[in-house]
Amino acid sequence: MPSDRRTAVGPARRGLGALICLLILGGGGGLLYQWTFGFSAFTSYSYALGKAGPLPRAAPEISFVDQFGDERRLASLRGRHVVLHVFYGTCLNICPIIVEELRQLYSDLPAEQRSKLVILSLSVDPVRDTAERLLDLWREVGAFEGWIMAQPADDSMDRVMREFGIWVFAKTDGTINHSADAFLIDPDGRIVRVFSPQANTNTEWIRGDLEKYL
Amino acid sequence: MKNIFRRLIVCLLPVFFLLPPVDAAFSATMPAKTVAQPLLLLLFGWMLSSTLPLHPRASSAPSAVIMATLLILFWMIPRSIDLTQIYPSANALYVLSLFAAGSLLSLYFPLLPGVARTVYALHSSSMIVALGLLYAFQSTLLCSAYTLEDQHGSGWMLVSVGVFAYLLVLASMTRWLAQPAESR
Repeated sequence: MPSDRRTAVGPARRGLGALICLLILGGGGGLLYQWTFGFSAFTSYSYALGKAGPLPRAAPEISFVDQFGDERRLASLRGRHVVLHVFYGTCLNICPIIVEELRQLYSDLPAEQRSKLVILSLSVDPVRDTAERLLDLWREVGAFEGWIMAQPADDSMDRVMREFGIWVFAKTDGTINHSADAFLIDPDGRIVRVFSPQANTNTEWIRGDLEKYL
Repeated sequence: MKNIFRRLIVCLLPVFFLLPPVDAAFSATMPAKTVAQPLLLLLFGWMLSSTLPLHPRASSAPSAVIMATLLILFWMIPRSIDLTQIYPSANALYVLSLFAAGSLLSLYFPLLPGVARTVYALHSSSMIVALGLLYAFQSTLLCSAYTLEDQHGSGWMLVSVGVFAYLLVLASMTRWLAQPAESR
């Protein structure tokens, strides 16, 4: 670069330059700090999770309509562990993999442990995932007594997702981007653990730790 | 007249990136969105500054380079990439700010002292490699709009770009050191 573009820098100008530099660094750093939840959440999923609060925390109260069309409350499942995750029936991406891995995990559990656990698959697509469709899906995964396929009742979807820390975004092409995390709710109704699926690990991302709780 | 036409063309480049078919092509895959598009925007931004009659001051160089770096850093965060896929206004900001970052770097980076330029370039290329390795080996999805395969592809592309940039900096540093001291 030609040196004639450089101009002489006096002490006053240098001081002002340093001050502006610090202001930009402070302002920009502060913005990045806020945006990443204190440099701890760099993805939309982890940000939503971080924003919902640290664990353990009380699970938000939710009402849902199950695969039989019955309206129920999460509180009615107290006394058993609940693994809650979100999905939608027409998903061709991560949802079928998660549901299959949970099915495998659930069917492998000894009857005694299975009786202590409920899997709650909550649909983020209430329009297409009607009770009839959820019933079909429930039969497809094995029609387990302790597996509930549901959609949030009334218009509480946004609140429920926000309070759990689940990121959901419906795209214009009909697909829905969402967190794939599974939340473990203990018998007292507290979220005690969040499991994040890992590629190519089969059910290992959840199996080992979950069995410790049962 | 020729110069004005050139300036106009360069100034309109961000608009070109926002044209729906062009934007759709870049947004289709993660390597295109997170590697190719930012590199092209920085490059075109760099080109823009050469057409502008500006006289940058050396005292403003650190601030300008820090600002450009912060802009680039912001758009390297997966959550920010998600934002560009959700809101068209965020996508426009992405295009304009990276274009501006390229211009700022072009105007002010050469005004930094040689040692600062070298440290900055080596550190930046190392960070690109580190980010690439993270993308390439992460087994969970970072950007919700893309697949895991896309993410791994993007990671390896970033690693290639970073290694290439690192070698380029080393080569120019060696050449600079090989010169007689009085001509540096």
